[in-house]
Amino acid sequence: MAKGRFVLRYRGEGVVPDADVTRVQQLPGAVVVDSSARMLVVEADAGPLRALVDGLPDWVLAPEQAFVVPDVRQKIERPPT
Amino acid sequence: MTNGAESGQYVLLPRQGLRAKGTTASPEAQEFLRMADAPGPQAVAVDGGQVSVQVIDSIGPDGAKLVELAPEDVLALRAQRPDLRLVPVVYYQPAVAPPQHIESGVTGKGAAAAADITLQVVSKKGSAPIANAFVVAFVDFKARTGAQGVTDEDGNVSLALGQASIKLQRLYVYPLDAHWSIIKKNLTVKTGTQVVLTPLDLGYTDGLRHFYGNAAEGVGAGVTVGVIDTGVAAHPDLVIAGGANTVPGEDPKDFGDNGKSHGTHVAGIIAARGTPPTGLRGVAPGVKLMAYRVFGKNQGSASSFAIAKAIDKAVADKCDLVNMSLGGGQPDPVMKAAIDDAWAAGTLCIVAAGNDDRSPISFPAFEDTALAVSATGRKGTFPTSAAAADEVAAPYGTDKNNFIAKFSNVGPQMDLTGPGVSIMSTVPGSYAEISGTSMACPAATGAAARAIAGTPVIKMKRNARRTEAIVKAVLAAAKPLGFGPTFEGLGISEAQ
Repeated sequence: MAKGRFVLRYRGEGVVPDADVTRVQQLPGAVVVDSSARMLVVEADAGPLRALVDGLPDWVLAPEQAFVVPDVRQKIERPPT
Repeated sequence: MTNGAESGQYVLLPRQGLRAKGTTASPEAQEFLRMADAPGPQAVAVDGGQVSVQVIDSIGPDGAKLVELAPEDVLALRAQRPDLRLVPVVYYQPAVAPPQHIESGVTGKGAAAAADITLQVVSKKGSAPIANAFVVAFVDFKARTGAQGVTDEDGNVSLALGQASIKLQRLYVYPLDAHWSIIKKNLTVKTGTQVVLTPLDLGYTDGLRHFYGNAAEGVGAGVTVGVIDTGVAAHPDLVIAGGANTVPGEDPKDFGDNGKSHGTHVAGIIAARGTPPTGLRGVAPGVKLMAYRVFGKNQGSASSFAIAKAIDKAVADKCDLVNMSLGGGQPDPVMKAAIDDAWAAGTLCIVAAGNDDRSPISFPAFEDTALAVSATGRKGTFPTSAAAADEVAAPYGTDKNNFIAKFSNVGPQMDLTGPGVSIMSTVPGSYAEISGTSMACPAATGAAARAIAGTPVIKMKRNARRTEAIVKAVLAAAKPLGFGPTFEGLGISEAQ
């Protein structure tokens, strides 16, 4: 299974529990590539990571995705042939 | 009292979660949800009276209620009871594949080889060539076929249109700065054809200045506003108090413009301190402006992680309002959590509804812990030759010169509208005219700053109650322009 890139966010009280972070870091094949005070960016197989986070009730998991600034400029969808 | 418009079904919930309990719901919200456990008519207290609610079903004494409400009562509840959430009932249907369709290309006559046509874009002022203008040439507008490109230093752009001379249904030119955009229809072009753009006049009354004038110095003082965007450039009209760059791998202190100008334009709409005709003035020039760059250098997209991190940073920096002129894509639980956490910490996110031509409001604007903003335009606040002229569409307001921009998304989660058609603002080293809910959003954010500046709300403890008070003050300042709630929410802010 191909790895995906996911963002985990801690919603619990206080600081992020070290034990939770350790469990994510120790997930086979998972790599924590970035972090902030309340979040981790993890490259991992989706299934095992979701299963792990399901057991961590204070965490939210989502695939990392890209957002754009909305643009109103007209655009060509198909060039002339 | 109803005005004859049909009632709609909504789920009425406490601000957080499905049940009103503990510290997550106000005592008033808990009391109402407990009282309204049985089907039948109920009343919700609002300032100066009450709103009639027909309870259809309940998921328990302290739980969410399925209710029916008249449109005006929806507006009253949203404006005056931000401790309660009203979510339109959504009926899901099986997904079906859209029908296939064919887009036809432009075929050159005779020989198959395509020919390029070189157009030149010049300024009306001295015929100076205009570089970096985005030129879009439609041979068939409906089929979206044609060619596009960006002008070089000589103002030239080479377009592969397949013929040495061709009739365009539409030609759009969007300059990077300093000039009005232009639309031309039914124009025959060939190499050497010149397109002449008119320079911006900073003393012109555009849509922003029509609705908000030129604010006095200091308007908005005491309010801290964060701009989560492409960064904000140093500019003579802008005072940037601080910020951060949350793009992975980039300097955290580099919150300057990423080369796309968007964030600098947004910031100017909120807080520019210039004086026309040599500069521009934003809606609330006295605010403390914070810049959070979430788009990498010259990048057009930002990661959900960078955005969520920027929201956290804005909360940590004690921003009262956060402007997010971005969105689209799939709902993201992590970004929603960041917006919810901001709400719980006393910071309100105000988000552009999106520019997908009357499509449903984009994520995250539609989230109930953010305010969604549509784009209003006004005839006479841009040249009739500007590209924005193409965005005039029904519905028109009580004043028939006002309209909701054709590009603006719409929906029942709309909270406010703001001027977003052909708006002049700051860009790196210059000024530019741009349209979008991206521009309407900071207009609404600036007006929100006006609404809360100098009020007791600013001194409240930073928690959900504070955010509820901000929302109440912001929405109380809104007045409808006559488009209807789906298009404008409670209307446009008239905060002074």
